[in-house]
Amino acid sequence: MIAARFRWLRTKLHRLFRRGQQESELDAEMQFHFDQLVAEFEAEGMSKSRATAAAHREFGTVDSYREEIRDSWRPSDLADLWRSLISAIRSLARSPGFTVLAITTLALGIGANTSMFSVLNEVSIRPLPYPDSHALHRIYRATPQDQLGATSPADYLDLLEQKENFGEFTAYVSQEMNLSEPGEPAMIARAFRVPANFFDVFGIHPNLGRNFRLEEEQQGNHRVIILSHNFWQSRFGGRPDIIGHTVRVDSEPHEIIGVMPESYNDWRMHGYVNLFRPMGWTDEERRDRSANNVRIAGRVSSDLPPGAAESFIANFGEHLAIDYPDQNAGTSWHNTPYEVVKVGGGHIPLSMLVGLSGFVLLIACSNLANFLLARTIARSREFALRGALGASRLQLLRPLILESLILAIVGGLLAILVTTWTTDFLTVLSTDDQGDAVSFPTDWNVMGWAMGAAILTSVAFGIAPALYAMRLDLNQVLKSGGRGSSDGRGQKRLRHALIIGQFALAMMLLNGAVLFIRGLSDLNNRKEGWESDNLITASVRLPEADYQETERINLFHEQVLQQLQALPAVESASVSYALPFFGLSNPRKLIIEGRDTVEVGREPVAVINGVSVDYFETLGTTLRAGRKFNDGDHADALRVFVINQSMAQTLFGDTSPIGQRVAYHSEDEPAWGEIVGVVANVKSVTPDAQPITFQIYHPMAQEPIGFNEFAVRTNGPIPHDLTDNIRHIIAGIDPTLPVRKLQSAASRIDRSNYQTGVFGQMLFGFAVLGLALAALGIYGVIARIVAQRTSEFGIRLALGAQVQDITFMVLASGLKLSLAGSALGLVGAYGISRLLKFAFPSIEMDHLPVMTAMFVLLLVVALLASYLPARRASKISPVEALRAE
Amino acid sequence: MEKVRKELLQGTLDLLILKSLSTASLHGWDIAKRIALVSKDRLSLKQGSLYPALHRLEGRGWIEAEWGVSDAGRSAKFYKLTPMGLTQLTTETEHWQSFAAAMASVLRMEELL
Repeated sequence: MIAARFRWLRTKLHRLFRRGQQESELDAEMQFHFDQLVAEFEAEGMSKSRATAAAHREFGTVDSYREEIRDSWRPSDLADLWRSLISAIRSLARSPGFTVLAITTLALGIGANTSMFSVLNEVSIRPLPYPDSHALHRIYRATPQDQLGATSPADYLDLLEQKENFGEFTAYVSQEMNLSEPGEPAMIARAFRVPANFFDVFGIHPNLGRNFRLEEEQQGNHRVIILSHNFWQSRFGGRPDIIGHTVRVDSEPHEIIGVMPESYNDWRMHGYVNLFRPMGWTDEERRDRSANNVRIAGRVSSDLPPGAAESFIANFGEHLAIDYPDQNAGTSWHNTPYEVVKVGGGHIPLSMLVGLSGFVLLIACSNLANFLLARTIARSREFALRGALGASRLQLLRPLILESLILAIVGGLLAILVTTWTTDFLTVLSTDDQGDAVSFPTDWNVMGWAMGAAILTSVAFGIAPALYAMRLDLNQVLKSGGRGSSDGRGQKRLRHALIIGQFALAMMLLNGAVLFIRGLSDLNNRKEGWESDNLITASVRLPEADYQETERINLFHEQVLQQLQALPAVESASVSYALPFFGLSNPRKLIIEGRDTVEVGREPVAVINGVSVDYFETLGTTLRAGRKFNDGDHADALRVFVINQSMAQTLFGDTSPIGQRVAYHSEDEPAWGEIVGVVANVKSVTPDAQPITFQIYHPMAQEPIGFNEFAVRTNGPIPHDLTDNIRHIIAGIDPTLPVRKLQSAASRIDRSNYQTGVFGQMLFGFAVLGLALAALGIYGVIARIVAQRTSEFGIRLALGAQVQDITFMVLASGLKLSLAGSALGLVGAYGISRLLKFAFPSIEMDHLPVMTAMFVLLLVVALLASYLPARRASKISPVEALRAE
Repeated sequence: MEKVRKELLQGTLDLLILKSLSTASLHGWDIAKRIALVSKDRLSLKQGSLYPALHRLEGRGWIEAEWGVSDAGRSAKFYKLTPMGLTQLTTETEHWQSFAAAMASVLRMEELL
């Protein structure tokens, strides 16, 4: 039966595609029959001619049979479809401009949206790769300065003791470690120090080697490491025999005991961690309550009623604040599910991008609708004619549906290309300086939805006008000459509304993008209290094992700075804890000599920086009063401080702060020092929410630490060999030290705001796309108006209208539409800018000039887009226009 | 013997063709001969009208065709019944018989009146 069906299908296909052969076979078949008849009559004794005549009578009319048979050949729906398809393609090819516009519009609209949703999915929707990830929480110790603060080892150990039925707690201390192997360049690895239960709590274990053991938490047993999958691949080439291998971490030999599976490395969580090492706290560290580097995570027990975890954590925080007010007054504890944490602060900009990419799709679809509408209306005469000749509704609609489908499908296929490019571009943008990148796999579900929307739009707007056309009085349409003097009123209004909507959307997009980009570049260029031109920086971390004594650190600094300053192009060089463009950190409480003790928790807090002698000069922070540090402020000299203007003003008002004595708050006897100078306020390029305005500096030599930022100012453009020279100098002093971020300050600043930069670039991309689409849309509409009114213009010209009048009329109609759209868009633009302000509070946005400029820009674009058709209208020859009528 | 009216009832030609193909695969000429022979020439039809019918049946998948060599040594197109055609023949035959019986009884009744 199946075989029979197959043969039957073959017959159909045969009939479909091999018409010529069919015809000749049919003729041969009938000829055979006819010849037999003739032969029979001849056998009865008739003459040849009489036999032929008799055979004709007996057989009937060959032509009518042939006709009938041909009819039986062509019923196939398949054939009809094929033919309709071919004619649809031909019809699209006849108007290549329209086809290309429609397809491009769709491809860009769908493509942009799919990549944005793919990013959204990658960043916030996709669950974390840990079992029962909803039960995982991050626990924060909020201080007035930092809502998401960390805590101390002693607090964490208390929490472990008191956990009751909460579930499990674990913690990590994130830090950089120097990694070196003989014969390999030293490097800085991003490391987590963790308790032995760390991976148990997250529910993922090493798939090579073993997990940490409890006894390895103890100081002394802690020299074992587990590698992340990425690091194992990139640094050790994925060698399977890596277990048992020994590497030097911070100058001490460590054994590699495990490798985590790839799935652990979710970039939103600990994806950029290279290696894990047990905490290995010393007894002294375990008692430390003022350290601020332990970050706590927990897996909440499923037995816990809702809200119990939150109140337990808050309660624990309250007790800490009461029991240890020195360290904890004014702090509170709270927890957030990891599924919320993973998105971080990024969800507002991200949802904005997704929303804005939706705008682009909206513009794209309305453009498509407009194109299709125009095209179908232009063909209303064709439909009326075919309808009059008896074509059924379906027959009339079929070519339109097919054309729309072809457009949607081709556009969709191109959209896949667009998506691939966009996500590749995003991956490149997200690549950090160690080569780790976030990839955004294309979300095919979204692609499907976007395709669906495109198909729906194109089919709906492809046939809606046709349905409308069919309602028309056929006679009327045929009589009106097809070119008609105008579209139907409703049609026109709809098309104009679409254009106005597009301009409104484009206005919102443009405004948002320009405001944001201006704000961002202001942020990157604000250079408040520092100067980044002709400045090169490098980051070095001195491992504790080798640099235990402060003298060694100071010696290292002296040697490096001395050699740097000896380089020919170098004006000055410095070393400090932090670079001003990335903000000072590590806030400390201050006490001021001669003042009443302030209530605990309300002491003045300042961010600190330890700086070498030439720091202010190298970074370009200007001195406002007193003096800078000098060689006299060495390790054994009297402690000295330099403070910033805002601290000087707030704390000392009109009295001079120079000579005042201050100290950092500490449990021991305060180490008093004298304020010797006041410098300008420094603002970082990172948009932080609540910056601490007090800044205090002390000489590096008086409190040297191993985290060092070197800065080198050149006396002109940075010479090419300077980076190599700096590297050589540091390697010459300590070859095991890796040097990181050895690049110009300018490029590091760009780098640090790259995420915000990517956001701005994408916003700008959408805006340009939206504007281009809107321009295309208005061009299409105006061109259409001109084409329809050719004869009217001809009459006007014949009656004495001037060419300028015609041009002006056309331009005015374009201007009217764009004016209405842009004005409407201003309202939305204001909303968008409010939203941006909310998402990026530290970005300054100057609405008025931007809005005005964008308004003018849109009008200019509209005028340009209308100008081409207007010029065509002005070239109408009245004679020809009237003759064509 | 009087010839039946020339216009065959709608659908009868299809049935005749299917019936004649039920025993052997034949070409058009043979089918015409067979119908004439079996009906004792009482069913006359324009022989050419077989061909549209044959192609219609082939299109429906009830018969299939193959080129072969006729008894006379000329190449001819041979038709044979497909399994689908066989089923169709059975149902059509039953259909026709019950229709004929019904017609017959109606007509008998008319005679009685």
